[in-house]
Amino acid sequence: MMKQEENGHTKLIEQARTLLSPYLDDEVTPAERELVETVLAQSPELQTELENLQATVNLVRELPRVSAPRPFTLTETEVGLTSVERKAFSWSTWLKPVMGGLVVVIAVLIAVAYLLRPGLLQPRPGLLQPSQQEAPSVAHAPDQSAESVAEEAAEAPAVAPAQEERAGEEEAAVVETVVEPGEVEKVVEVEKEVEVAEEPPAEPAAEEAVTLDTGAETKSASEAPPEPEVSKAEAVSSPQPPPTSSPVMEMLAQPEPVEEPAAAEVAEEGIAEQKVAPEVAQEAVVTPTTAALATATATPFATATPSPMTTPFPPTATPTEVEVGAERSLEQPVDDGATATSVATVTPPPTVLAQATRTVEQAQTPIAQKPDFTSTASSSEVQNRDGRETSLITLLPTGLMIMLVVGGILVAVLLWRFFRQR
Amino acid sequence: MNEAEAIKAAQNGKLSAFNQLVMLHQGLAYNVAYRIMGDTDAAADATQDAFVKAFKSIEQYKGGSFKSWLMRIVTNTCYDQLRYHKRRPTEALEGEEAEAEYTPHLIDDAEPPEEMALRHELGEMLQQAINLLPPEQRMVLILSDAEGFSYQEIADITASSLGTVKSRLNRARTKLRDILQQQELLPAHYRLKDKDR
Repeated sequence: MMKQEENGHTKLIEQARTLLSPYLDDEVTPAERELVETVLAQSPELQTELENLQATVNLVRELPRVSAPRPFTLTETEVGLTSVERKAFSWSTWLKPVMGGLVVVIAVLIAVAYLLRPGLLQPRPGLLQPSQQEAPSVAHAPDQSAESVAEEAAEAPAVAPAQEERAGEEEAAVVETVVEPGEVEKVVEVEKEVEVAEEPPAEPAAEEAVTLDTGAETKSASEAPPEPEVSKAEAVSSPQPPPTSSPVMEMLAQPEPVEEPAAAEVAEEGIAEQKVAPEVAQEAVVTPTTAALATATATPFATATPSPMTTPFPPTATPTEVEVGAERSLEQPVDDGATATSVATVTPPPTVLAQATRTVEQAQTPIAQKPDFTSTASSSEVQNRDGRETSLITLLPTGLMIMLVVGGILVAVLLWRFFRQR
Repeated sequence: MNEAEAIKAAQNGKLSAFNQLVMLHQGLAYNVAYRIMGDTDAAADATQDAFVKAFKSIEQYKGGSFKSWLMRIVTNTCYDQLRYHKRRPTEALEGEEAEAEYTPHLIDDAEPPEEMALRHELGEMLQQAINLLPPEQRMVLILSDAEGFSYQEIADITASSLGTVKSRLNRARTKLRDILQQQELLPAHYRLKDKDR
């Protein structure tokens, strides 16, 4: 019994001893304080311990303070890299310029997207003829291949609808790629010969050219409307009479005697060209003369004019348009060297027609891209440029989206870092 | 510029603002370092390193007592250096050298020479006794009894619980008392009462 009491007393003393330090600092609960004071009242030994502890604490508290041997201020050298690093990543030094640059890049992208949008390459609706405006589009999809368009056009009826610009562009590209350099040289030679032969009756020839031009345009637009390559091939392979679907076509059915040999030569040239695309020749249905005219009308445009407005001519050209074309063709004579050289695949009489047609077309489509007739090489460049633009137009939304996403992520990271610093 | 503005400027990378904070707290930092390290050179090195660390990591300061935040860096730096010197003991931490360099830095020059000498002697004795404490107990003892931090502040500085602070401080005081009693380091009139008496 006594042992138990002694054990209990010892436990209390030990418990109170652990509380002496916080008791000195008044960091004990009331219960702990009561316990300590109870034990202290019963134990002189614990009281001595408390006094010594208090004396020790007082000694430490009275320790003299020491002054710093030197100032500990930091210099740029001591924290050099750190300081530079921090300045480099501060909001004012790098975040603002980065954000500004990002905004500029996005603005430029949006501007480029606006300038290269597909609608800008097309003529204004108000300047198109009604038939062109209302005509169904054969090649609506930008990525539709030119060959598929050509096949569709070949299967189309005689009076075909006008096509949209893009289809014309692609068709022009196809024809351009079909013509080979050797053939081009041959055609140019033949062309020059015919031009020399036709020179004396300059004015009548020009008038005839205008007349024929209208017919040829109508012919090409109506008979083999969208596909210059197809009309060319048709001309070569079959002597069948042409389908006379319009009065202008009937005019074409009675060509001038002077024109006949030239047309025949063109037909021969068409045969030469047929080697390039023999598969299309199987569908030939027109006479050599009309076919040559069709070739003359379709090929140069297809070759030299990037604008799709050249090929899809309406079945019936209005008198006003014909007049405009005649005037312009008279103003710009046939012996224009650049034209003769550039229209490599054009046969002699159709060269005049082509030019007249071109002028008519220019009057019709003032906002269409100006073709480069100086050389076939530049025509290729135009075509290539068109190709790039087309691909840009196709890829631009994707690229823009990628840029916007990347920009958004960058902005988010920068903002996160900025707010983390704060 | 007050402390809060200086802290904000320092967080934006302004070194001059941080140096204002250094001037404000370098006395406290050096005293804590000296009491923990027991050597003037080691204390100066630890203090300098602590300020460099503080400047580097001032972005992590999220408010509260800047003094406590700075003391945490100082005590951690001291603790790291103590562990380093424990692995590679050098003469710098010996008592004699610390004693020789300690005297010139005592403050209160207006104190009478005898009392000053006595205080110096007492201080040296106490510092030797404190140097015998384990580092964790030494830190708590210095922060509490020499620098007057509360239990909660010490818990924040040492990143430990309140109960741990209480128990560590109790053990540190008790051990220091025992050292002073057993080794009779203190002058006669400062000697503690013998509990067996």
